Amino acid sequence: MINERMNPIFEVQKYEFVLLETNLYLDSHPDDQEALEYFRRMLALYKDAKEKYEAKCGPITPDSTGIGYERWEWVMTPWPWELEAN
Amino acid sequence: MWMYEKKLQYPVKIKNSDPSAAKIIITQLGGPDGEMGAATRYLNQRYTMPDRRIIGMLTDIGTEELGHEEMIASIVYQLTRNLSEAQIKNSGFDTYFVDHTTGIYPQAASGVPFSAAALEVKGDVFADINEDLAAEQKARVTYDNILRLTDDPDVRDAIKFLREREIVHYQRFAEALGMAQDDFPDKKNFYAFNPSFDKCMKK
Repeated sequence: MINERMNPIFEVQKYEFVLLETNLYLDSHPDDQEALEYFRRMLALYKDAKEKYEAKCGPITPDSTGIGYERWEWVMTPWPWELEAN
Repeated sequence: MWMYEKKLQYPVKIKNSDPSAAKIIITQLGGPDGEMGAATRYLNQRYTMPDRRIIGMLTDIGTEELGHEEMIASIVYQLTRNLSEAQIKNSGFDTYFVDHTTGIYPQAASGVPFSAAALEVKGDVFADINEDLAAEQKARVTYDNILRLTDDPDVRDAIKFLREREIVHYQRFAEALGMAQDDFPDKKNFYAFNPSFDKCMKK
């Protein structure tokens, strides 16, 4: 069982998954205003969760590696399949 | 995890169709030294690499190769638009057309479908990085050969860009090999092997 208190990345994964599911729904329903509004709301939560995670644990994407770190942190933190990252 | 960006890495805008060019260029999607093999090779070699910097390199180059698959597919798509029956029959494209119409299918110029047998994942940093160095050179030669066989400046422009990327990747992998030889437990690993990497093996 995944415990989100044990794993800070889970907050990011949660909102990313919500965005993905909404994205897939919108692909076949591009005019659904309610879903579009939901996507926007979740996107803000996702961005917030990603920013908090990256400030604490390191970059998730190369483009955020250039901001707020002293070195190219992209290759310093564990890769996702290492046990330390999970 | 991967996210898609809705754009090509470098523009592909080919005005004139040319099915015989398409038939040879498809080899850089699904041929023995094509982009699909490159992406698959690098992204799968990452897991057992003993250095996070080399993992970063394989991740970033492997990801770029996925973008190159899209560029090759775009070139082939644009070269096979609005074909006439005569063009299909006279260009030699008919042998591709009969099986795939103008769909994008990963195969070699010879018609052999994409095969993972053309790539290697050995689970050893020296074997794998040497494989990658050779792969970049082989892909570069294939692009050189495509340039020898095509005149259309629109096609050549995109192919030249892809060729240059092979050269850059070769340089980066050469650095990775240097890192692996210099930085690991027994310093200056001149003979390029290191049994201490096998510490995960239990007797």
